[in-house]
Amino acid sequence: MHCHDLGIKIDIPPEARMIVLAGNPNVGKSVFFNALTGLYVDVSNYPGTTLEISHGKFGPDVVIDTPGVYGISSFNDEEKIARDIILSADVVINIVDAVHLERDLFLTQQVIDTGIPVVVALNMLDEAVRQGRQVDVDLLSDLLGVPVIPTVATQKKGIEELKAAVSYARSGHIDHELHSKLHLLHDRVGNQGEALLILEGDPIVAERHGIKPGNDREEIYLMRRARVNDIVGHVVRQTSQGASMGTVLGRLMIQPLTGVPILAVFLYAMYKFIGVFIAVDIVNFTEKIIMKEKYEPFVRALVGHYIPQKTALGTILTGEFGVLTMTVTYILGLLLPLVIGFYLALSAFEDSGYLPRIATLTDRAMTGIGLNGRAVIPIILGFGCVTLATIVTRLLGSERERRIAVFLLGLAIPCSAQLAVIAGLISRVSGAYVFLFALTIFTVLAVAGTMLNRFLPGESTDLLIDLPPLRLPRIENVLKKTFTKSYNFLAEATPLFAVGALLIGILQVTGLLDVLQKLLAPLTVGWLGLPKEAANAFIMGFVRRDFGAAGLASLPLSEIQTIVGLITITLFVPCIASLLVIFKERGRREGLIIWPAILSLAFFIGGLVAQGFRLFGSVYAVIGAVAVILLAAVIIGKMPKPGNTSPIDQNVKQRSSV
Amino acid sequence: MFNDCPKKKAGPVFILCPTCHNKMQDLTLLRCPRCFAQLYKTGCDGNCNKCEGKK
Repeated sequence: MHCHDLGIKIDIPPEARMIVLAGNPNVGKSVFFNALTGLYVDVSNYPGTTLEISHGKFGPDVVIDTPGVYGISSFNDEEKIARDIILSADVVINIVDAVHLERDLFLTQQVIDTGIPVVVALNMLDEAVRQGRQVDVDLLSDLLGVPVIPTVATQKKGIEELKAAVSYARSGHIDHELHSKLHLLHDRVGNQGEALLILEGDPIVAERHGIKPGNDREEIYLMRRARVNDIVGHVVRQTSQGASMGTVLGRLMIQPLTGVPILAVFLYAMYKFIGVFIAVDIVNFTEKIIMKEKYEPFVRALVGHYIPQKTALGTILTGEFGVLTMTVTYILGLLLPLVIGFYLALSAFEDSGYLPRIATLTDRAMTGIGLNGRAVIPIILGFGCVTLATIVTRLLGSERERRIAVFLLGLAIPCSAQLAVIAGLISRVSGAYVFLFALTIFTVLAVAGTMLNRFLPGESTDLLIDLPPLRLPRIENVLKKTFTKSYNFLAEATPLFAVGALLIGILQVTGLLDVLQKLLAPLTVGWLGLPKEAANAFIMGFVRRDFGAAGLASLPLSEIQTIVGLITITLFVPCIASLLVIFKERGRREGLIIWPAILSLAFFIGGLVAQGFRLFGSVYAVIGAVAVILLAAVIIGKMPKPGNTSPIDQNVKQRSSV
Repeated sequence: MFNDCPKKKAGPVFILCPTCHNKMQDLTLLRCPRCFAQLYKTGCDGNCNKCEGKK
């Protein structure tokens, strides 16, 4: 009967049914095939291909296996073969992976749309339960309109029930609109399945009937996808019952009530590792003992043989901000250990599957400032080195998000070098002032992000991220990623640090550094309420951010002056290397907007706090004022943007892996 | 739907699913409707404001 239509030789007795096994790749079709046919199997080669088709007897009927496919079409040889065999079938047994229901049900619905009687074997149900997915099998059967038999083929569970179900296979539910279109074409073509494929634009099937192929494929696919997503939304429930510990922990990590404390624990561990062990113990050894006590005197002596240090060239090369001294000390003594430490931690988070969960957890907060959860990566890195973080903003999904992230990194994220000195200065003031400092920086971040989100044109991208299963990070992977990323960063950033040091050296030898300090003095005294020597600290902050904070530490300051100075230096322009990276990443035009904007904001906000204290006379009143501003920013952030329309996206935003 | 790159940079612009080779012209799709894989764009390098695929 059918053997010649298919182009392969399969003997099918006249009364026998042709039962076809169909399913996506790697769902376990061969296990079912063996269970149905036993040991008596024949293999035929499909003409013109290297593909072999297995077929065997199941009682009086013939079972034919098909290649694993995502749909039936003419896209490739496997799908052409599957198409021809399925269209000739009397019954299709569709094997579906319960763990990947969203993916596999597309083929199920497409086969149902052909009108051929179907039985669905819902396989790997045990694995789905382990991943915390409960599937309502009866509801799935109702919605599809075909029998659905739960199976665990590797344990032979459900096989007998499946064999019995073949007798009551039936045609399932088809979308009304599609059904009408099929009905019109069916009379001409004589076969519903072929009519469907002609509508979907299959050129080979269309040519058989002398009809022009349709161009509705994309529309039909999207409609079928929407239907499948809707079915999955109804039948799948996330639950902890039976789920593995990794699945439960992974779920707890993305829910705010449990996720935030878990994140706090990991961030504290990260702070202990990077902020204490590396930034203090390791850097103390590398920067002070190796670089400052051994390397710098050696280089100064070496260069001094040829170029006297007191000359302009000598100062630029080996002076206080020398290209061969400060730059190399900074990169190898301070930056390298910190960058390695940060990348070690981030690579471990990434390899364990925790990093995408941090992105998911923080996504809602990030959308208020025009970013999505993915931006948590450069922000975490920014606490290590803003230059590094600015480069990493390349991974964000749109120009708009990169623009916002670069501005916020430059404005409000203190790097680790700065943080160490800030921590020392903060210890001199009482708790209320510490709180004022942290609240002000956080408020600036929130307000700046909210305003950028509202006024920058365009929309930011949604977070679409796969959540892989949680696992212990593999040491080899972590070390490989750390080495590659650290090396790439240093290769890119070292020339920028060198150019930055060169520029500062030129400013120093030409006396312009002193001129800048004198120019800033009225601002620091009148507006910020600080001693005029604080201007030196700000200029030093431009060279290296920790120099700026350290410069403040040497001045006799009151508590409010310490906080005003710290707020200003934290918000102050990033170091010159970061500035050069901003110009490189964002272009000259944007760089020339970002730089003076940050500079102005730093002084403006520092001065606002100083003037606020002068006006109210109490740190608590200033805290209250800042809190009100923060609240206003949060409210404005929640308001819909004018002229905002829903995104076109026809796919459901998924948070579980496929 | 967009058939041609308006800037004539790349000819017909489409998304090719890396998993099932489904071709799509709706450049706003994030996942292949057929096999649910995440999508890549081919035929242009993005970063232009002339069509919805500008990202």
